[in-house]
Amino acid sequence: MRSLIRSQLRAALTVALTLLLSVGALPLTFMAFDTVTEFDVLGIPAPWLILGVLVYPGLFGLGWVYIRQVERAERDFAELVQPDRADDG
Amino acid sequence: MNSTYGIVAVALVALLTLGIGAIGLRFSRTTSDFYVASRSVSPLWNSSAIGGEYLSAASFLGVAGLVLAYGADMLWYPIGWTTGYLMLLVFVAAPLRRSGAYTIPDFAQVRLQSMRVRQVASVLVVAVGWLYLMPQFQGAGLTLRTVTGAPTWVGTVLVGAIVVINVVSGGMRSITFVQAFQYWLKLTALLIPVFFLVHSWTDDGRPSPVAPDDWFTPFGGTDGPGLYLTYSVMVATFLGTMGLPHVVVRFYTNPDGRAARRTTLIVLALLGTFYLLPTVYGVLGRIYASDLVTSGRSDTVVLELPSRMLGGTTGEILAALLTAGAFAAFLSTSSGITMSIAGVIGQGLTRIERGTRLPLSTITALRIAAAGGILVPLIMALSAERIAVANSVTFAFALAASTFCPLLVLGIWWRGLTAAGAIAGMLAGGLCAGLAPVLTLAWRPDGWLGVLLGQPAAWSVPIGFGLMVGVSLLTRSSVPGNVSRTMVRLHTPEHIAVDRRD
Repeated sequence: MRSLIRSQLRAALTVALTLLLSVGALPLTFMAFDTVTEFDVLGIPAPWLILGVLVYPGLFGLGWVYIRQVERAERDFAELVQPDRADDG
Repeated sequence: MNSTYGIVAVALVALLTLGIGAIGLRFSRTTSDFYVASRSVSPLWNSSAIGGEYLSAASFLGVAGLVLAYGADMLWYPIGWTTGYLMLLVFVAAPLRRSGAYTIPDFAQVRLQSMRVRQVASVLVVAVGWLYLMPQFQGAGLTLRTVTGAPTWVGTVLVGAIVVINVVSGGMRSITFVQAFQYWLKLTALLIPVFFLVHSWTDDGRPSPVAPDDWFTPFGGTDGPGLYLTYSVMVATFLGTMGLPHVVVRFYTNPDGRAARRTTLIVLALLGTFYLLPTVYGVLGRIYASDLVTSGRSDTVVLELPSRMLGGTTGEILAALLTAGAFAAFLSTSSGITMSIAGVIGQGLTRIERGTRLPLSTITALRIAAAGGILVPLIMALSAERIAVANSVTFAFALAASTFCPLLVLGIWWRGLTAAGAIAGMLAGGLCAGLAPVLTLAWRPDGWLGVLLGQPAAWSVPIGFGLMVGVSLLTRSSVPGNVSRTMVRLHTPEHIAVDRRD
């Protein structure tokens, strides 16, 4: 049981850390590197494109990866506890 | 602006909301129905409902207004409101569903076996709810004034009345239908005008927004408190979402923990799609309606753009559509919050009733609570000075992030949490994040003090977490005896047979 909780917590913390290092680092990046803020894509400044559009699919992707991970952990756990009916997870 | 279309739009949304609510009423008979739709809502319905409930006046009107006024830095608000769901997904969604709790106070009681914790959490639910309701009501007043010229209080009172009728008559079952419908209404209402507006902008030769440099780039004025503000908004919104009472209660309507996760993932997609749009309004607003900033009415930019850019009947019809969307936003969010406030007050009332032997059924208590619970924010909305909708919603997020976020995260993942620790953390975090908006509104301090009070989350959340952990460690001997069993219940998939008794 403890190992299941630990693996779920690890998955959650991985997502949180990824967020911190990606989205969380954006303000500092914008502040530190003028080249990023001055970069244009099709006339749209990079910060607007990143903050206004690109962040959202990124968040969805993170959530999707996380769900796959924790459901696999739950399946493994189910197999461990109830080997006879592990196929219904 | 010709007000006929606008009035028709508002009337239609109000009637549809009450109408769908009335249909739902036929299905909701038991108390369990009334509170949480008997836990039988599918992930897509449920996520539309969550989206409908979550996208408030702040999202529909506020974001565009902030982008119009302040530019790139404001894009953090919608990002934060979406990321909040990701945090909720990874830390809270499935275990909270598996806890079997209706509300945060229920969860606190299940986990910590303490009535005192339950009471503190109940008071905080009401406080967060009121802080969240006030800007919704103010936004409604503003919208109706913009569209029809009616005095501000009319819209405020109108929304309050519809919400009470809806909650009192139908309960959660009908609210799930209403909310799901309103997500799609809001998305459509914002999406269709965008095509017309962008087309008209292209015809105009695609003029660029005229604005000072710091509008275009994040932290234009690097020496200011911009970086602190951005990070504080991030802390409040990332961590506050999981503690909003109307968000949490929705997870109970999922059949199991797995469905709760899937629901949350769909919500991420729905929110991400929606939040692409307000930015477009904000930027176009900078080109065509920048005078709204100087006149302090930037929150109305979404409603004003069609008549300014297109004019004629097309403009009026699109403006009416946007008005309908805005009203859907006020109604859905306010209904959801009112419902959860009513749930908490109602549970309190029935408990008091047991002592005094008043003949009060659970559902009657819930109805009285709904009507009563809405009065305070209504009065606040009518009397308080208006600040930007999106800003004032952030106070509610900061309060939730400083109190319920530590309670939920530590309660779910840490065996060592004690009742005393939870109370200490919630009281301290709640006092810090709760007094900040009061002081800001009452006294408007300048300089860094004003900045710190205006966005308290960056310091109040660590205080809440710190005290909760610290006091729990000091009272280690009072860790609830059944903690291991509770943990098993929170984390084990439902289909595995384990001992789930309390």
